[in-house]
Amino acid sequence: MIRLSNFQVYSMLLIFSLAVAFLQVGKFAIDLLFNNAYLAVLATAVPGILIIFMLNHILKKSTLPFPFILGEHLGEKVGKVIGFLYILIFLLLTSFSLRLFVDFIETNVLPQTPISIFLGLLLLCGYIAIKTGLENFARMCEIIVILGVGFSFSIVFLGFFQNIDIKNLLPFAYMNWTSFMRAVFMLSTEILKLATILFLGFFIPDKNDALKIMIKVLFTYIILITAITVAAILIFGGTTASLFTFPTFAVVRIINIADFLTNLDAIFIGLWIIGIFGTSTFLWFMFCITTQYVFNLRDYRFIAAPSSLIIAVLAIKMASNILEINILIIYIIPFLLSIFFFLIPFLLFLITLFKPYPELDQENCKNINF
Amino acid sequence: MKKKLKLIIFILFFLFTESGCYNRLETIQTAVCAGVGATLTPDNRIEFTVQLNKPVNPQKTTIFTQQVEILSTKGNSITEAARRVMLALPRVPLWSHADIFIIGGNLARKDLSFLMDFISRNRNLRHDIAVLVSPDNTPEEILNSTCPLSLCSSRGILRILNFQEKNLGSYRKINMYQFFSQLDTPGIDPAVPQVVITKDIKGNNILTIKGMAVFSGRKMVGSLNEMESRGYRLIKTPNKSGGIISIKFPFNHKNEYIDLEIRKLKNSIKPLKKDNKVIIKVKADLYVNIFGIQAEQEILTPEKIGLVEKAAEAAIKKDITSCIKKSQKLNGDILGFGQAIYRYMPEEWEKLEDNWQQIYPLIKWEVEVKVKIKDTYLTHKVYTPQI
Repeated sequence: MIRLSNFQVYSMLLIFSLAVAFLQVGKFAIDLLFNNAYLAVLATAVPGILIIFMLNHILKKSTLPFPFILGEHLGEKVGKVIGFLYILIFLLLTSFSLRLFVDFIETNVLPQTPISIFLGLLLLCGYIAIKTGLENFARMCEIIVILGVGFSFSIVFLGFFQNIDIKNLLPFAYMNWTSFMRAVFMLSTEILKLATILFLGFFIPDKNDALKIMIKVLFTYIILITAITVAAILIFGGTTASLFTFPTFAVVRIINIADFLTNLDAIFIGLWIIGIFGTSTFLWFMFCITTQYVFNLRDYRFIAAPSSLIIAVLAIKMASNILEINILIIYIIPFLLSIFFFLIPFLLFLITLFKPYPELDQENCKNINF
Repeated sequence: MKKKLKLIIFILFFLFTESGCYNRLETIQTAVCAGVGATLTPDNRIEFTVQLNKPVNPQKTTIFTQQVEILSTKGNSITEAARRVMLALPRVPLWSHADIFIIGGNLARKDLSFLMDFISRNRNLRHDIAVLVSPDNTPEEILNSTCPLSLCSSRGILRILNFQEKNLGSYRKINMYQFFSQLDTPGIDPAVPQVVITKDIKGNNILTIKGMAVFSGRKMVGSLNEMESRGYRLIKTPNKSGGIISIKFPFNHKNEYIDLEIRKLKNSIKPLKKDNKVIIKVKADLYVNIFGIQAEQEILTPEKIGLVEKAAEAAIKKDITSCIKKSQKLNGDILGFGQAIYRYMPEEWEKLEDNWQQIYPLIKWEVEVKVKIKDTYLTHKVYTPQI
């Protein structure tokens, strides 16, 4: 049976929820709330904690990891039908994360490089990671988090030493409350990705530690996103920060320490690429595992190669321009995430409320072939 | 064996695909761009100018003449004009190395919106480059002039901007992101240092910073002189030290001066409500050191130092007041009075925002300056040589 350490699960959850969010989530909030965007990020702690307690409850009352959990609580047939929908969702999310990465690189870094080069290389790396298994991927995630989080905090720290105007944060809390609620909703949808603990939580030594891990992930997420959002507002002001497609990247681009440390964007992009690799590979992995469950397959690894082609084509075809990508980012993906990462887990939560705590607990996992 | 073969294929794949950036350029195919500029021609076309560094052999004796090439192109839009540089240049210009952007007076006085769209959208020009306005000359003329002891006038003028702010303190350097932030934020307008051509002793054209261009909305509406620019800097600079204030000797009517160096500066702009009307309170607190006394009378006594402080307060107040008066006259809210109202009285700003252009020239304000003398450097008495 697979065994993961608490830090490995922390790392995987953090990469999954933070890598894409670090670049674009602050932007959602700034677009809606300008100088008060950081308040929405901080307020995300409330729905975040509620989501975490809900997931923890489901985890404690379940004996099998996701996607088997669906069959356990909803019945085998319904579980498989919903599992099939999850296959499509994971496929779409994998393609979407790759597309987002490609669009960012194409517009900001290497505009002349063909999309197929980026997609091909990232998929190749992802394929190798899936073939080597979850434990190896988890080790990789540890390294990514140590490098990535450390550098992200450094960027924010350096950002605060630029020409900042602390008064850019004023007026405090003077905002449209409907926009505030919308921003909190948008930001919470990224936190919903913590639902993958329903899969990972079964491989840590003690399932009860899952709550602590999720809270750590949530607070790392909130601290980092708040800090980068505040940095963007302090440097550019709310109105100008909302003009940029990626305010985080704009902050990185202007970091200049004593005319000596400049052009940090190259390092940032290098680390962000491995973050995106982590996110897309994990989603791809979930796609393979769910496919194995739905179709009663012996192994999941062999699905990786053929599905890579579907993922690549979907990534290219899912949107014809940046405007369609924005529609996906703002409306479609949050909607899908709230259905599949909130509503269905909420249904499981309601069902498990009336169920007793299981006796066997993690013993059942041994029978599942990962 | 199978594993080894796989490994070899894997290594070979990455060897050929990961050996460098896909669209890499060799150094000899590139041209380092030092400064760029744009202006409007009389027939309403955009003239784009770029200053490129010539490769210099560091082992040869350095001659302090400009080692640059200037190219100017015209187009219907700024992008077209910039891309037309490729018709005359056999290398790829590295725009991201540009240190300054010069906006020609004709363009600045017309409309900056489409120029700013180009700059904010363009990934090649970095947003931390310095912005200057050339009120009387085209960017081509500016970039063709020299800076003493500088191989490249763009880098030279940037250094002048930085050094003068620290040592003289007359003008505030504005970066591109600060410029477009002030252009698109309601309640504040930008003020940008101006670069002009003057003659040196030998009659050569050299570049100098002179005055600041005042914007109102999308266009330049006038300029601040050096005194007004100093007042602007004292209120708006993010640098909390640097600069000199020369005040007239307060104890007699001779033409004698005391030089004070700013060691610490704290400034604020806050709105107040008096008699149901919004008044702007501008405050500056300074700690200064005596840098030079051009007099024979002893002033470094507890009784007299207070009078020097009062004289310094009056001089600084005059600078700030003249800046505010000029900006109100030009109707360019460069000090950000509107932004201050939005920040501290957002409800009030909602009422004023729509008519701010009409309200700003008439808004009442108060200036409060406090100066404290802290140090006298290496001597603590006035130097009085024998007669």
